[in-house]
Amino acid sequence: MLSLTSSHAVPAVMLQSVDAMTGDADLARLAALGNLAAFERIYRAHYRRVFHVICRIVGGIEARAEELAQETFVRAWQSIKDFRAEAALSTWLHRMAVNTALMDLRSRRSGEDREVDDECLAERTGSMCTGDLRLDLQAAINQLPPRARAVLVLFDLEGWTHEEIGEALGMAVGSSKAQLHRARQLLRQRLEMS
Amino acid sequence: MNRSRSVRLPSESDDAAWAALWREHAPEDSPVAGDWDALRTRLLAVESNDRNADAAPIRLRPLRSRVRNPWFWSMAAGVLLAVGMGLVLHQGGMSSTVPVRAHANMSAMTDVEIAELRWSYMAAQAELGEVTIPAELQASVETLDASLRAVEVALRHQPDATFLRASLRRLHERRLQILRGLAFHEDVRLRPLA
Repeated sequence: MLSLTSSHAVPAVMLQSVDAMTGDADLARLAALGNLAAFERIYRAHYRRVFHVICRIVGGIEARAEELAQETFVRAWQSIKDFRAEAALSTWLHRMAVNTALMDLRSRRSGEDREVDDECLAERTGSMCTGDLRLDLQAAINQLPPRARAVLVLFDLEGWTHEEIGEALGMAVGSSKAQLHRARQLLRQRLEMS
Repeated sequence: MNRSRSVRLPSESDDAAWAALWREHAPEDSPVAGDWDALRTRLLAVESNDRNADAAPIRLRPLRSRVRNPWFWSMAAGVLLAVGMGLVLHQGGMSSTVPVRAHANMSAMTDVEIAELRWSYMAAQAELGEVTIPAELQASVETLDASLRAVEVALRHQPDATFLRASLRRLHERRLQILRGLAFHEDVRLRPLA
Protein backbone atom coordinates (compact mmCIF):
# COMPACT_ATOMS: atom_id res chain seq x y z
CA MET A 1 0.00 0.00 0.00
CA LEU A 2 2.90 2.32 0.66
CA SER A 3 3.82 2.13 -2.98
CA LEU A 4 0.40 3.08 -4.22
CA THR A 5 0.93 6.81 -3.95
CA SER A 6 0.43 7.99 -7.47
CA SER A 7 2.26 11.27 -7.13
CA HIS A 8 5.91 11.83 -6.35
CA ALA A 9 5.12 15.08 -4.58
CA VAL A 10 4.80 14.71 -0.81
CA PRO A 11 1.28 15.70 0.27
CA ALA A 12 1.06 18.37 2.95
CA VAL A 13 -0.58 16.00 5.41
CA MET A 14 2.55 13.79 5.24
CA LEU A 15 4.69 16.61 6.52
CA GLN A 16 2.75 16.88 9.76
CA SER A 17 3.76 14.78 12.72
CA VAL A 18 1.45 11.89 13.52
CA ASP A 19 1.69 12.80 17.21
CA ALA A 20 0.38 16.28 16.47
CA MET A 21 -2.82 14.87 14.99
CA THR A 22 -5.76 14.19 17.18
CA GLY A 23 -8.63 13.81 14.74
CA ASP A 24 -9.65 10.48 13.26
CA ALA A 25 -10.18 12.10 9.88
CA ASP A 26 -6.57 13.37 9.74
CA LEU A 27 -5.23 10.02 10.85
CA ALA A 28 -7.38 8.24 8.28
CA ARG A 29 -6.08 10.52 5.52
CA LEU A 30 -2.53 9.86 6.58
CA ALA A 31 -3.12 6.12 6.83
CA ALA A 32 -4.61 6.20 3.34
CA LEU A 33 -1.25 7.51 2.14
CA GLY A 34 0.43 4.46 3.63
CA ASN A 35 1.48 5.82 7.02
CA LEU A 36 1.60 2.89 9.44
CA ALA A 37 2.16 5.10 12.49
CA ALA A 38 -1.17 6.82 11.84
CA PHE A 39 -2.88 3.50 11.36
CA GLU A 40 -1.39 2.26 14.63
CA ARG A 41 -3.02 5.20 16.40
CA ILE A 42 -6.35 4.31 14.82
CA TYR A 43 -5.86 0.69 15.82
CA ARG A 44 -5.07 1.50 19.44
CA ALA A 45 -7.99 3.90 19.72
CA HIS A 46 -10.61 1.57 18.25
CA TYR A 47 -9.42 -1.98 18.89
CA ARG A 48 -11.32 -2.39 22.13
CA ARG A 49 -14.71 -1.53 20.64
CA VAL A 50 -14.09 -3.60 17.53
CA PHE A 51 -13.01 -6.58 19.60
CA HIS A 52 -16.00 -6.46 21.92
CA VAL A 53 -18.68 -6.19 19.26
CA ILE A 54 -17.15 -9.15 17.44
CA CYS A 55 -16.77 -11.07 20.69
CA ARG A 56 -20.49 -10.69 21.43
CA ILE A 57 -21.48 -11.85 17.97
CA VAL A 58 -19.22 -14.92 18.09
CA GLY A 59 -20.46 -15.90 21.53
CA GLY A 60 -17.60 -14.79 23.73
CA ILE A 61 -14.95 -16.94 22.05
CA GLU A 62 -12.04 -14.58 22.62
CA ALA A 63 -9.50 -16.32 20.39
CA ARG A 64 -11.86 -16.13 17.42
CA ALA A 65 -12.79 -12.55 18.26
CA GLU A 66 -9.10 -11.57 18.28
CA GLU A 67 -8.58 -13.24 14.93
CA LEU A 68 -11.60 -11.51 13.41
CA ALA A 69 -10.64 -8.16 14.94
CA GLN A 70 -7.24 -8.48 13.23
CA GLU A 71 -9.02 -9.38 9.99
CA THR A 72 -11.19 -6.27 10.38
CA PHE A 73 -8.14 -4.03 10.67
CA VAL A 74 -6.46 -5.68 7.69
CA ARG A 75 -9.58 -4.96 5.64
CA ALA A 76 -9.65 -1.43 7.01
CA TRP A 77 -6.01 -0.88 5.97
CA GLN A 78 -6.78 -2.13 2.48
CA SER A 79 -9.83 0.06 2.01
CA ILE A 80 -9.07 3.12 4.12
CA LYS A 81 -8.30 5.08 0.96
CA ASP A 82 -12.01 4.71 0.16
CA PHE A 83 -13.05 6.08 3.56
CA ARG A 84 -14.91 9.36 3.29
CA ALA A 85 -15.19 11.59 6.32
CA GLU A 86 -18.97 11.79 5.85
CA ALA A 87 -19.32 9.19 8.62
CA ALA A 88 -17.22 8.87 11.76
CA LEU A 89 -14.25 6.55 11.48
CA SER A 90 -15.51 4.67 14.54
CA THR A 91 -18.85 4.01 12.80
CA TRP A 92 -17.08 2.86 9.64
CA LEU A 93 -14.82 0.49 11.59
CA HIS A 94 -17.69 -0.75 13.71
CA ARG A 95 -19.72 -1.63 10.65
CA MET A 96 -16.74 -3.38 9.14
CA ALA A 97 -16.23 -5.36 12.36
CA VAL A 98 -19.85 -6.48 12.42
CA ASN A 99 -19.71 -7.50 8.76
CA THR A 100 -16.51 -9.47 9.35
CA ALA A 101 -18.11 -11.30 12.28
CA LEU A 102 -21.28 -11.99 10.27
CA MET A 103 -19.27 -13.33 7.35
CA ASP A 104 -17.57 -15.70 9.76
CA LEU A 105 -20.93 -16.67 11.18
CA ARG A 106 -22.29 -17.47 7.72
CA SER A 107 -19.20 -19.48 6.75
CA ARG A 108 -19.46 -21.60 9.89
CA ARG A 109 -23.18 -22.09 9.73
CA SER A 110 -23.07 -25.59 8.31
CA GLY A 111 -20.15 -26.65 10.49
CA GLU A 112 -19.31 -26.54 14.15
CA ASP A 113 -21.75 -23.74 14.98
CA ARG A 114 -24.89 -25.35 13.65
CA GLU A 115 -28.09 -24.22 15.22
CA VAL A 116 -28.86 -25.92 18.49
CA ASP A 117 -32.39 -26.64 19.53
CA ASP A 118 -33.87 -25.12 22.63
CA GLU A 119 -33.70 -28.27 24.76
CA CYS A 120 -30.08 -28.76 23.93
CA LEU A 121 -29.43 -25.13 24.83
CA ALA A 122 -31.12 -25.51 28.19
CA GLU A 123 -29.02 -28.57 28.86
CA ARG A 124 -25.83 -26.76 27.93
CA THR A 125 -26.45 -23.71 30.06
CA GLY A 126 -28.52 -25.11 32.90
CA SER A 127 -25.98 -24.80 35.67
CA MET A 128 -24.57 -21.31 35.06
CA CYS A 129 -25.40 -18.50 37.43
CA THR A 130 -23.01 -16.03 39.03
CA GLY A 131 -25.52 -13.89 40.92
CA ASP A 132 -24.53 -10.80 38.93
CA LEU A 133 -27.29 -10.09 36.42
CA ARG A 134 -24.93 -8.36 33.99
CA LEU A 135 -22.57 -11.34 33.91
CA ASP A 136 -25.42 -13.83 33.78
CA LEU A 137 -26.93 -12.01 30.83
CA GLN A 138 -23.59 -12.00 29.06
CA ALA A 139 -23.13 -15.72 29.70
CA ALA A 140 -26.65 -16.45 28.50
CA ILE A 141 -26.14 -14.40 25.33
CA ASN A 142 -22.95 -16.34 24.60
CA GLN A 143 -24.87 -19.60 24.79
CA LEU A 144 -27.59 -18.58 22.34
CA PRO A 145 -27.73 -20.19 18.88
CA PRO A 146 -25.44 -18.16 16.56
CA ARG A 147 -28.04 -16.46 14.37
CA ALA A 148 -30.41 -15.69 17.22
CA ARG A 149 -27.47 -14.29 19.16
CA ALA A 150 -26.38 -12.13 16.22
CA VAL A 151 -29.88 -10.69 15.84
CA LEU A 152 -30.20 -9.99 19.56
CA VAL A 153 -26.78 -8.32 19.75
CA LEU A 154 -27.42 -6.18 16.68
CA PHE A 155 -30.98 -5.17 17.58
CA ASP A 156 -30.82 -4.81 21.37
CA LEU A 157 -27.21 -3.83 21.97
CA GLU A 158 -26.12 -2.16 18.73
CA GLY A 159 -29.38 -0.48 17.82
CA TRP A 160 -29.75 -1.85 14.28
CA THR A 161 -33.16 -2.08 12.65
CA HIS A 162 -34.67 -5.37 11.47
CA GLU A 163 -34.26 -4.17 7.88
CA GLU A 164 -30.53 -3.64 8.37
CA ILE A 165 -30.16 -6.98 10.13
CA GLY A 166 -32.12 -8.78 7.44
CA GLU A 167 -29.87 -7.30 4.76
CA ALA A 168 -26.66 -8.09 6.61
CA LEU A 169 -27.63 -11.64 7.49
CA GLY A 170 -29.45 -12.42 4.28
CA MET A 171 -32.80 -13.06 5.91
CA ALA A 172 -36.28 -11.62 5.69
CA VAL A 173 -37.38 -8.92 8.13
CA GLY A 174 -39.92 -11.38 9.55
CA SER A 175 -37.17 -13.92 10.19
CA SER A 176 -35.12 -11.32 12.00
CA LYS A 177 -38.10 -10.52 14.25
CA ALA A 178 -38.70 -14.21 14.87
CA GLN A 179 -35.04 -14.79 15.75
CA LEU A 180 -35.13 -11.86 18.18
CA HIS A 181 -38.26 -13.23 19.81
CA ARG A 182 -36.66 -16.61 20.13
CA ALA A 183 -33.42 -15.19 21.54
CA ARG A 184 -35.25 -13.18 24.20
CA GLN A 185 -37.39 -16.17 25.07
CA LEU A 186 -34.31 -18.33 25.52
CA LEU A 187 -32.64 -15.67 27.67
CA ARG A 188 -35.71 -15.41 29.84
CA GLN A 189 -36.02 -19.16 30.24
CA ARG A 190 -32.36 -19.45 31.00
CA LEU A 191 -32.28 -16.76 33.70
CA GLU A 192 -35.62 -17.63 35.28
CA MET A 193 -34.58 -21.25 35.49
CA SER A 194 -31.35 -20.54 37.40
CA MET B 1 -22.48 -20.13 42.58
CA ASN B 2 -25.39 -18.09 43.80
CA ARG B 3 -28.62 -19.81 42.91
CA SER B 4 -30.86 -17.89 45.34
CA ARG B 5 -31.78 -15.01 43.00
CA SER B 6 -34.60 -15.45 40.50
CA VAL B 7 -34.82 -12.96 37.62
CA ARG B 8 -37.87 -12.01 35.62
CA LEU B 9 -37.02 -10.64 32.24
CA PRO B 10 -39.48 -8.64 30.11
CA SER B 11 -41.89 -10.22 27.67
CA GLU B 12 -40.32 -11.12 24.30
CA SER B 13 -42.31 -8.49 22.42
CA ASP B 14 -41.74 -5.58 24.81
CA ASP B 15 -38.95 -3.73 23.03
CA ALA B 16 -39.05 -0.74 25.40
CA ALA B 17 -38.63 -2.91 28.48
CA TRP B 18 -35.73 -4.77 26.88
CA ALA B 19 -34.10 -1.48 25.92
CA ALA B 20 -34.37 -0.35 29.54
CA LEU B 21 -32.90 -3.64 30.73
CA TRP B 22 -29.91 -3.32 28.38
CA ARG B 23 -29.35 0.31 29.39
CA GLU B 24 -28.89 -0.87 32.94
CA HIS B 25 -27.19 -4.20 32.39
CA ALA B 26 -25.47 -4.03 29.02
CA PRO B 27 -22.25 -6.03 28.88
CA GLU B 28 -19.20 -3.94 29.61
CA ASP B 29 -16.24 -3.50 27.29
CA SER B 30 -13.33 -4.60 29.45
CA PRO B 31 -9.86 -3.33 28.48
CA VAL B 32 -8.13 -5.52 25.91
CA ALA B 33 -4.68 -5.23 24.45
CA GLY B 34 -4.54 -5.96 20.77
CA ASP B 35 -1.44 -7.41 19.15
CA TRP B 36 -0.20 -4.52 17.03
CA ASP B 37 3.08 -6.24 16.12
CA ALA B 38 1.25 -9.21 14.63
CA LEU B 39 -1.08 -6.90 12.73
CA ARG B 40 1.83 -4.81 11.47
CA THR B 41 3.48 -7.94 10.07
CA ARG B 42 0.25 -8.86 8.27
CA LEU B 43 -0.15 -5.35 6.89
CA LEU B 44 3.38 -5.40 5.49
CA ALA B 45 2.65 -8.74 3.86
CA VAL B 46 -0.55 -7.35 2.35
CA GLU B 47 1.39 -4.35 1.09
CA SER B 48 4.01 -6.61 -0.50
CA ASN B 49 1.28 -8.60 -2.27
CA ASP B 50 -0.25 -5.36 -3.54
CA ARG B 51 3.09 -4.34 -4.99
CA ASN B 52 3.51 -7.73 -6.65
CA ALA B 53 0.19 -7.19 -8.33
CA ASP B 54 1.44 -3.76 -9.47
CA ALA B 55 4.65 -5.18 -10.88
CA ALA B 56 3.12 -8.20 -12.53
CA PRO B 57 5.24 -9.77 -15.27
CA ILE B 58 4.62 -8.50 -18.79
CA ARG B 59 2.26 -10.78 -20.66
CA LEU B 60 3.12 -11.06 -24.30
CA ARG B 61 0.40 -11.04 -26.87
CA PRO B 62 0.03 -14.44 -28.50
CA LEU B 63 1.52 -14.63 -31.97
CA ARG B 64 -0.99 -14.22 -34.72
CA SER B 65 -0.19 -17.70 -36.03
CA ARG B 66 -1.88 -19.14 -32.95
CA VAL B 67 -5.17 -17.56 -33.80
CA ARG B 68 -5.13 -18.41 -37.49
CA ASN B 69 -6.68 -21.62 -38.74
CA PRO B 70 -4.28 -24.37 -39.89
CA TRP B 71 -5.74 -24.33 -43.41
CA PHE B 72 -4.73 -20.71 -43.79
CA TRP B 73 -1.08 -21.51 -43.11
CA SER B 74 -1.06 -24.53 -45.42
CA MET B 75 -2.37 -22.38 -48.24
CA ALA B 76 0.02 -19.51 -47.46
CA ALA B 77 3.00 -21.88 -47.29
CA GLY B 78 2.03 -23.35 -50.66
CA VAL B 79 1.73 -19.92 -52.29
CA LEU B 80 5.05 -18.74 -50.82
CA LEU B 81 6.81 -21.90 -51.91
CA ALA B 82 5.53 -21.50 -55.44
CA VAL B 83 6.51 -17.80 -55.59
CA GLY B 84 9.92 -18.52 -54.03
CA MET B 85 10.68 -21.31 -56.46
CA GLY B 86 9.66 -19.08 -59.34
CA LEU B 87 12.03 -16.35 -58.13
CA VAL B 88 14.89 -18.80 -57.63
CA LEU B 89 14.41 -20.19 -61.09
CA HIS B 90 14.15 -16.68 -62.54
CA GLN B 91 17.13 -15.05 -60.73
CA GLY B 92 19.38 -18.07 -60.31
CA GLY B 93 18.85 -18.18 -56.53
CA MET B 94 21.05 -15.10 -55.84
CA SER B 95 18.69 -12.99 -53.75
CA SER B 96 17.00 -15.69 -51.66
CA THR B 97 19.44 -15.34 -48.73
CA VAL B 98 18.84 -11.61 -48.21
CA PRO B 99 15.91 -11.81 -45.71
CA VAL B 100 17.70 -14.48 -43.68
CA ARG B 101 20.79 -12.29 -43.47
CA ALA B 102 18.69 -9.28 -42.38
CA HIS B 103 17.09 -11.29 -39.58
CA ALA B 104 20.50 -12.53 -38.43
CA ASN B 105 21.82 -8.97 -38.35
CA MET B 106 18.80 -7.85 -36.33
CA SER B 107 19.33 -10.70 -33.85
CA ALA B 108 22.97 -9.83 -33.41
CA MET B 109 22.01 -6.21 -32.79
CA THR B 110 19.48 -7.27 -30.13
CA ASP B 111 22.09 -9.36 -28.35
CA VAL B 112 24.46 -6.40 -28.33
CA GLU B 113 21.74 -4.12 -26.95
CA ILE B 114 20.83 -6.56 -24.20
CA ALA B 115 24.48 -6.97 -23.28
CA GLU B 116 24.93 -3.19 -23.21
CA LEU B 117 21.99 -2.75 -20.86
CA ARG B 118 23.28 -5.49 -18.59
CA TRP B 119 26.75 -3.98 -18.53
CA SER B 120 25.43 -0.53 -17.69
CA TYR B 121 23.41 -2.02 -14.85
CA MET B 122 26.38 -3.97 -13.53
CA ALA B 123 28.61 -0.90 -13.79
CA ALA B 124 26.09 1.13 -11.77
CA GLN B 125 25.88 -1.69 -9.24
CA ALA B 126 29.67 -1.74 -8.87
CA GLU B 127 29.73 2.03 -8.50
CA LEU B 128 27.04 2.09 -5.80
CA GLY B 129 28.57 -0.75 -3.79
CA GLU B 130 26.66 -3.45 -1.98
CA VAL B 131 23.00 -2.60 -1.57
CA THR B 132 20.75 -4.67 0.66
CA ILE B 133 17.23 -5.05 -0.62
CA PRO B 134 14.74 -4.82 2.27
CA ALA B 135 12.44 -7.79 2.79
CA GLU B 136 9.33 -5.83 1.85
CA LEU B 137 10.80 -4.98 -1.56
CA GLN B 138 12.32 -8.39 -2.24
CA ALA B 139 9.28 -9.88 -3.95
CA SER B 140 8.78 -6.83 -6.17
CA VAL B 141 12.42 -6.79 -7.24
CA GLU B 142 12.28 -10.50 -8.05
CA THR B 143 9.18 -9.91 -10.15
CA LEU B 144 10.96 -7.08 -11.94
CA ASP B 145 13.93 -9.35 -12.68
CA ALA B 146 11.62 -12.09 -13.94
CA SER B 147 9.96 -9.54 -16.24
CA LEU B 148 13.37 -8.49 -17.56
CA ARG B 149 14.27 -12.08 -18.39
CA ALA B 150 10.89 -12.65 -20.07
CA VAL B 151 11.31 -9.56 -22.25
CA GLU B 152 14.85 -10.59 -23.22
CA VAL B 153 13.62 -14.01 -24.34
CA ALA B 154 10.73 -12.46 -26.24
CA LEU B 155 13.07 -9.97 -27.91
CA ARG B 156 15.25 -12.79 -29.19
CA HIS B 157 12.19 -14.29 -30.85
CA GLN B 158 11.01 -10.96 -32.23
CA PRO B 159 14.16 -8.82 -32.61
CA ASP B 160 12.31 -6.14 -34.56
CA ALA B 161 9.59 -5.57 -31.95
CA THR B 162 10.08 -1.96 -30.92
CA PHE B 163 7.65 -2.15 -28.00
CA LEU B 164 9.76 -4.96 -26.48
CA ARG B 165 12.93 -2.87 -26.81
CA ALA B 166 11.21 0.04 -25.11
CA SER B 167 9.94 -2.28 -22.34
CA LEU B 168 13.42 -3.64 -21.78
CA ARG B 169 14.89 -0.18 -21.45
CA ARG B 170 12.10 0.93 -19.09
CA LEU B 171 12.53 -2.12 -16.86
CA HIS B 172 16.29 -1.60 -16.66
CA GLU B 173 15.78 2.06 -15.81
CA ARG B 174 13.31 1.14 -13.06
CA ARG B 175 15.69 -1.46 -11.67
CA LEU B 176 18.47 1.12 -11.57
CA GLN B 177 16.13 3.65 -9.99
CA ILE B 178 15.39 1.24 -7.13
CA LEU B 179 19.07 0.45 -6.71
CA ARG B 180 19.98 4.13 -6.51
CA GLY B 181 17.09 4.84 -4.16
CA LEU B 182 18.22 2.12 -1.77
CA ALA B 183 21.87 3.16 -2.02
CA PHE B 184 21.08 6.77 -1.16
CA HIS B 185 18.44 5.87 1.44
CA GLU B 186 15.59 7.42 -0.45
CA ASP B 187 12.10 6.18 0.33
CA VAL B 188 11.66 4.04 -2.77
CA ARG B 189 8.37 2.71 -1.36
CA LEU B 190 6.68 5.99 -2.18
CA ARG B 191 7.44 5.59 -5.87
CA PRO B 192 5.24 3.54 -8.07
CA LEU B 193 7.05 0.41 -9.17
CA ALA B 194 5.12 -0.27 -12.31
